Amino acid sequence: MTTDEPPDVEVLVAELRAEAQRLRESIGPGRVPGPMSREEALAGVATVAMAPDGFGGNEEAANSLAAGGLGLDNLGALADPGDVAFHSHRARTGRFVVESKKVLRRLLTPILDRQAAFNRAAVDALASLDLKAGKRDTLLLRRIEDLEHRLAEAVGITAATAHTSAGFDARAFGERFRGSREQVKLAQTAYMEHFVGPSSGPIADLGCGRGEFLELLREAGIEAWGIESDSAMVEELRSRGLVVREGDAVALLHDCADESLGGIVAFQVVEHLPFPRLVELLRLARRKLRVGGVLVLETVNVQSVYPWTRAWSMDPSHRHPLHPQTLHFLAEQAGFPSVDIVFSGPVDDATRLEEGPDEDRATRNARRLNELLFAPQDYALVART
Amino acid sequence: MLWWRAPRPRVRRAAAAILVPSLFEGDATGNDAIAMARILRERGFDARLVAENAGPGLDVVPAGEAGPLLAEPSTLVVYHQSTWWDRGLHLLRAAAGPRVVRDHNVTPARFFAGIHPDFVRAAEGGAEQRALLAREPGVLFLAASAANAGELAGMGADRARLRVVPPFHRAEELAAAAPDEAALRRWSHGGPTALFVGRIAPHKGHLRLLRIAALHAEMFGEPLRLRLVGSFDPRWSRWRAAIDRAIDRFGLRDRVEIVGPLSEAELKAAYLTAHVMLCCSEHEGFCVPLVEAARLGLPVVASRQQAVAETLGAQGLAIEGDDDTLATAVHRVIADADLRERLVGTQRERYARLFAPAAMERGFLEALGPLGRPALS
Repeated sequence: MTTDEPPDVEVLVAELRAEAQRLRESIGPGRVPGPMSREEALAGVATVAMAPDGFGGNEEAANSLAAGGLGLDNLGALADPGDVAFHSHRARTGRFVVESKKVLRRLLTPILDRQAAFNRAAVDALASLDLKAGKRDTLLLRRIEDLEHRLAEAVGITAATAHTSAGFDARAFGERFRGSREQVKLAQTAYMEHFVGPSSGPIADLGCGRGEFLELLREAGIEAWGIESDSAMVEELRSRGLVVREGDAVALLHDCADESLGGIVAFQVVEHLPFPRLVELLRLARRKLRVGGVLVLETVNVQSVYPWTRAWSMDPSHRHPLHPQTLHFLAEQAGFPSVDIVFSGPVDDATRLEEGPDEDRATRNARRLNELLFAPQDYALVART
Repeated sequence: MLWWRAPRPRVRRAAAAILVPSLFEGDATGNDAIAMARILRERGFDARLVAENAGPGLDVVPAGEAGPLLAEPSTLVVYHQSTWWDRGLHLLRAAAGPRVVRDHNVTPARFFAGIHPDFVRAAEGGAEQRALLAREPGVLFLAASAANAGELAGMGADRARLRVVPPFHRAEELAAAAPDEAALRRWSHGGPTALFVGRIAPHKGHLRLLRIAALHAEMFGEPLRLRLVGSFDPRWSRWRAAIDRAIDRFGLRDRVEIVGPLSEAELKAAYLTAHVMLCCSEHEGFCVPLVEAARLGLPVVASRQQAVAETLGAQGLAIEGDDDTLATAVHRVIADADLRERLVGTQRERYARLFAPAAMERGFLEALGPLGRPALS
């Protein structure tokens, strides 16, 4: 074998085993203690401790205890009286004192050993309790975090989705009643007039759902990303190449730099929010939009009876009806200098009351009723910074 | 159809965010993260390190301020998983861009039982988060070893999105460093010396190292000096005391040196003055000191542990055997110049093929695939 060749490890290890065995047989059991387990090593830990005047010891640990630092580390350090350094400052009687101490130590050794064993057992028991308490703390912390997360979701913008309400699959509900993706996309093209050209991005679509508006923005070459709390939906959107962040919309909006967004949109979302959360969202949106940025919040037009008895009443996750003037007021309060209300979703003529060709009483009454019963189904707050 | 005057597109460098809970030079995770950031920068990324806390002089984005960076859909996110990190997990999940998880493995909590509850909790949390991340959809996983990759797959990670990329190390910097003269003088005399580099932690196999040193003296009539290099956490005082006790039990008081963490120059001196590296670690995800030993020409004898054996390769001396056999192997490697040369040659060849900077960088970029090519936006 030349020195360039790698060793045949299998052969080498077999040789080494055989050599080790031969040596062991020739030496016999030997004096080296057997393998030491971790537990054995820890059980044997004996840190020197006791008051300095009596049996030597760990002053640092004792002082720490005296100072009120009652930690397990300190207790561990004090568990065993340990070795003793005997000395005396007396010139004449010193030797006698030292010998006496040694005799005393010999007499006390069995008692001290038992005491040390008891101490170690007590420290180990405390350590075990500490560990159990620690584990319980961890579990409790996780539970609290989980509850906080659920609470945040429950009050969050996208909280209306299925996974937050046991037994109610909002996704399936939306699929059935919201309309097809194509219909929704078509309806939302109206909002594209507010976002013209790539420089109008980035746009954040809060509660982006099936991603119709994100697709419109992508098609227009505008940078955009959505926030959605339904993880299955997030995955689906990502598989379609859309950029989506999973989580609570308000919380994630907090993460954006101030004045970094060109637009924020939320379609059929704000009616699901608790009122304080809505106020927070408006203030946050004002802060995150750059100069010239646009906020679009579309919701159900509760001034109209038709959507009130249909879209509004059908969805059990709606929280508060939002009158257009209320939302307008809130946006102004949040600091938006320019606020408009834009109505959309006209009720089809076949449903509306027929208004006659003449401006007679019947026509006027029909119009009044149409305005009350069959006004547009949705409206959008369009606020600019 | 809407019409607008298309403005001149803004051209900017795509960003990369390297997320790591704590960033310190010299720490294996820190070295890995810093190297990744450097490589991505060289590839044209605006790569930023994001950390909760960092060592002095390191340019990092505080984790609390990383939201906007991660909200950019073009930002490549590389998350270093080593422990439980609430905010890190949140940031990763909220990231809008492509996501990569670098897995560093987590030392099992059982090793810390009875040592300190902080570490038990940290290890349990780390394992829990690792399992969570393994099931995170749409993520590319970079495992430090095939052993780690197997664990991740067992936890539910998509095998099609699993790559093995060894952690970046500083073996070249170590090779280029001048050894500390005082350390060289101090350690050059003292007879056959086995070196181990690794934290004084309960899973690093120090008890076994001690027994092997004692057996070496008994079986071959020649004392073996054991030099233990590595950091030590004050909360492991109970374990440190246990090691102290074991040193006495094996009669090694004058043959064991626990030298603590070393500077690069001192570490170089430690490698140069040792005759063999002895590793009996019970748990590793990868073993960087073995790579350093290979680069610096120090032969390695190790007890077989999956990731250790993987780091050493099939031609490395990772032995499934008792302490007598390991003591015999240490003796043979020190005494047999020919075997020593061949082991060193094998290690060097493996280093050049897999762990040299160019090979490492190539492997990393291949694993990233298209994600490693920055798109201008």
